[in-house]
Amino acid sequence: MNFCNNKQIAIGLLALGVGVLVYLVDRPAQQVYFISNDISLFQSGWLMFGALGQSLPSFIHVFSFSILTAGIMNCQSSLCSLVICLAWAMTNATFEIGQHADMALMLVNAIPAWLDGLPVLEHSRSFFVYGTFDVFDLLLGVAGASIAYGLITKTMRRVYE
Amino acid sequence: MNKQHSMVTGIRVIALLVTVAAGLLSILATNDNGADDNQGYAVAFPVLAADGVNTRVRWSADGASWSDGAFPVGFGDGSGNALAAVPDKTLFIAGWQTNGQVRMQQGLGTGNWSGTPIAAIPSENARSAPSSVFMEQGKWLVAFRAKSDTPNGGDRMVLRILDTSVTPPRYLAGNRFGYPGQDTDTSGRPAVAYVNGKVLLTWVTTPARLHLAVGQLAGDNITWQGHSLFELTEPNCNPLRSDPVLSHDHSAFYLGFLCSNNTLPPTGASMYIHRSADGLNWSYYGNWDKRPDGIRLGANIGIAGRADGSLIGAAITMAPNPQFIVARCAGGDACKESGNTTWQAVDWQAVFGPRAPDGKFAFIATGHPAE
Repeated sequence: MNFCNNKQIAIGLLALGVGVLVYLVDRPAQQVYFISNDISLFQSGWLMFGALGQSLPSFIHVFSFSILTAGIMNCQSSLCSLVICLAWAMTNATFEIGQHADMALMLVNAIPAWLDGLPVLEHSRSFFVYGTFDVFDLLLGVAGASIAYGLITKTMRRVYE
Repeated sequence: MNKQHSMVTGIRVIALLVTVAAGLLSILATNDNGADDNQGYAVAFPVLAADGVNTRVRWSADGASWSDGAFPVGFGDGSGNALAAVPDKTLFIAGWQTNGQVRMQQGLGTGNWSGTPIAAIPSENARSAPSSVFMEQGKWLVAFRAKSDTPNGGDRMVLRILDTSVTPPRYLAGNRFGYPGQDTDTSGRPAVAYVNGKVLLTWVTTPARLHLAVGQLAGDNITWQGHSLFELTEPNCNPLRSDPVLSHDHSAFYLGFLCSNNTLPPTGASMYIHRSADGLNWSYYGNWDKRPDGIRLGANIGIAGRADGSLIGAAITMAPNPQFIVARCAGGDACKESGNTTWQAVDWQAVFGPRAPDGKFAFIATGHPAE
């Protein structure tokens, strides 16, 4: 009996691995919150993913988490897939738009001080202050969601199967 | 079968929650980690431009080399600026006074400012440049000199809380500062400081006397604990020759001012520093070297403290060859002994850029208590 869609979960994890590789190899440790100098493989002057590495994470994030979520939920309809992909695309878009200067000012003021002591969340303010709003990242997120939707519907077990 | 189904559902829900949490947190965790947030010191000052007076903000990691903070053109006037920042350096606020109105403008760091000043304006007409400091939870203190309500009275000090945690930002009511005999001839620009709920406000009156008020933040109000004349007990300090400045190192307050010194020529002055752990009891901390060639009287001075106890003092020397001068000490006894701190001239343009200020500047240090 299959409670999850293992194929989708495998694809999602594989894509996530590629995303992690971008950060490990192509980004200096001091530019990424979760990468320390000890584990960084970054070498100055050499980029494994070239210019693509700048925007690839936006695509991979929406793509991989859409497929992972669909796999765990064992989606068996196009509607289920659509809702999941739209949700991750919108999540990505929300954070991206939040980096726009006018939005960021409002958000940073509203972030409560108690987040400062929590791992990852302590980075919230810096994320909005030092992140850069990029329309291209928004489009890549939409592309990631669209391709994920196609792949999910192609690999899902339908109710009637 | 039912038990197995419940277990599978439970595992699926947990897996789903973990995936969603990982998806959300990874957006934050994979982005720029704020390695740029090294804006440990900053100055704000007015410069005369072709289209009027503009505010400029510049920042430095170490107080030695400085970069432009890209403040938008078109805002400011010649009376000086307020400047403040949150401890993690993500939010800055700069202020000025135009036609009697205090205006404040927010920036993400010093490099990305809002295109327009905050719409909220204090109801009091300002008669000095403002002074500002961050408190907590999006709230900032804004102090300035204003006309007294009393007919024929002098000026009074006003301290307001600007709440930027709400949209749109607003000034909270009911925090006008009053004290007995407030309608004396206050002059210059006040200074304000805040540490762990304690509020300090200091200003001068004519003839030169230094006032100090201490309050405690209580909700959205400040409960004033006292107002006093600060006794200038230093040898040879006569008279007071500058507006006072305040800073802190997260555990103690520092008060700085210039005094003429009868061992110096009339143009000479020394910067005196006092220290207090509670804002009520002050002790003399140091006399930061003498400047026989004279610190520019009437110009602003600045002190900036860090959590490690280090202090930087800043002043501008007399014309015709004005210099921006700083004195540094590493904290503790190094700051106490006058012989350990010596004024050094810093390249004027390195600090202020191509357009030097006309004696008015706000100088701050920022950072967490752990820094």
